[in-house]
Amino acid sequence: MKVNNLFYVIFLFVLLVSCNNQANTDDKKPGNEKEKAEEIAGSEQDFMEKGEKVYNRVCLVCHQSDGSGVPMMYPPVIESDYISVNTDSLIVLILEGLSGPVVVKGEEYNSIMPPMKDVLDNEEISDLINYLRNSFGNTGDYVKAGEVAKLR
Amino acid sequence: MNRRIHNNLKLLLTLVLPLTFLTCNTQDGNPRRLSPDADNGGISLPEGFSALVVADNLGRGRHIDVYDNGDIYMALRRLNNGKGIVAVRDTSGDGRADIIRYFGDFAGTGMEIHDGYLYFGGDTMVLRYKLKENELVPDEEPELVVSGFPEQNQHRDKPFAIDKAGNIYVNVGAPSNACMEQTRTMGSPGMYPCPQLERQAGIWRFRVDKMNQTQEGNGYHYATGIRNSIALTWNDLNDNLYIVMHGRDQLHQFYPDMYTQEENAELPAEEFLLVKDGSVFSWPYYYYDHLKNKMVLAPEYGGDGEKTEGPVEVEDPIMGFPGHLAPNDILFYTGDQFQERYRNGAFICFHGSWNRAPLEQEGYFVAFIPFKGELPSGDWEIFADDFAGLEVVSSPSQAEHRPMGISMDKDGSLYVCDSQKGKIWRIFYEGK
Repeated sequence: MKVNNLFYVIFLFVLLVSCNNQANTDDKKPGNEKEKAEEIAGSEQDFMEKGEKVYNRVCLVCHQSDGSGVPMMYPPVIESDYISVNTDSLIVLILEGLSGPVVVKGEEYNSIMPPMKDVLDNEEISDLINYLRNSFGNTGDYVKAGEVAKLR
Repeated sequence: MNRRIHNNLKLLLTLVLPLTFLTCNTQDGNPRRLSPDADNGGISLPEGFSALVVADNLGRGRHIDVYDNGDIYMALRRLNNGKGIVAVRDTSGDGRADIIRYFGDFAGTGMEIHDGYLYFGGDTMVLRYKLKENELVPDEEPELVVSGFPEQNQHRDKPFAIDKAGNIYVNVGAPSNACMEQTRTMGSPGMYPCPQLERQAGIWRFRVDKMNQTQEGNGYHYATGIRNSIALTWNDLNDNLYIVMHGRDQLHQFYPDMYTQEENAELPAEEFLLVKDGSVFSWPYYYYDHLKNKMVLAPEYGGDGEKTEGPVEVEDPIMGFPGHLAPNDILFYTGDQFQERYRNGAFICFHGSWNRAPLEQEGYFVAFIPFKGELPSGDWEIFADDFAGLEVVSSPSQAEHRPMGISMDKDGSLYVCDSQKGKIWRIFYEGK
């Protein structure tokens, strides 16, 4: 009976751990906010460094090192609603590019941003978004590579 | 004193006084005795030159010209209170604006006064406004000189040059960086033959006094292989069109294995072109390497940074400037106010780079190139500098001012305008 009890405790423990693991991978389970925050804190160093590398490689040439863009040609990425507000439309903008007139912070721009879907993978795009949302005065939710995959 | 003598004296004075003024005028480099601003409006100039600020905060200035009566007109890249041209008048004779008026329904770049008309180049057309001696703002509706240019996002400005024979030469820029199958996309090859050369990336000639012309109906294809020419002018002395072309961008970004960031910052040259009827220039198949002094095959067409053999024969530039400096206006100096060495030489406004990033940006100055006959007679030099107001410009929006347009007053002073805030400087020679 005692041995059986021990087995029972071990069995329960294992079950709990596996439940936990499941919760880690499923965003919809309650308690996931805290998990996500911890995950973000843990990988922050990571995505800031990786996202900056992506920015410097593909974005900086037009949007510039300080994010201020090029007057009358390329819009700034500083304090930008395009970056902070809507995750899905930002992902689509990066994947598909943009051309034609847009108004950013009261200034009209009419240039071309090439699509990045064949240039960047999902993780590079999520790193880039997370970097942008923590740079140049932008804010916004943390984005996972899976969210990019869904819209690709 | 009897009345007749008094009248004669008055007559004599009336005749003599203006003569005295005229004599003074020809003896001094600064004919109107303009007093410069203490800081020359924030720019630096060669010894003996001074500047004053004519007007400021007019909007995003593009090209500029001066009417015979001294009124200044500047095209705007962005509508200011719904208007695309600003007119400036000095009524007190101190060279500084007293009246500022806006008019015109379109934003644009091209601006030149010819034979009593103000010509304006928008994005897809050229208009003209009838100027009247005392009216700063034209009171008649503009006439449509040319329209029917392709709609395009990139390089859509329609600056132009006008010759003595009444022809107008209009820039139609390439709608892309390098005629790749997919514009500005890494790995996309160049199209051959480049279909964009058919109606773009060249100069089209029209009549200056014929209305309602279209590119396809009336345009004469004068020269090709020109990516974009914001800086173009007709040289009345040698009867030639001169252009300073914007070279292509992003060699390192698209070909990181072939070009370092340092090479990307320096290459390719901004090409100074002497354009003849039928000239064929480098874009998109080649670019000019001013460090090696040779035409190089573009990487989109199989180039490796060294190869020179390509699909067509093209003309070399008469000079190559460092990459990405964005030459945006050119003027041949025909005045007699400046010293001898400036006469008939070229002044070029460099708007300043963006594609040298992550290296520091360059340009943001007005350069001078001495000329003899049709060709430069010496190297280029910086004439007016410090427009950016910064030691190091790491991105173009940090620049306080960017020189954009240049024009000459009939007294030989130069006007230079800015695209960041819309400042106009008047530069004059005061001597030692």
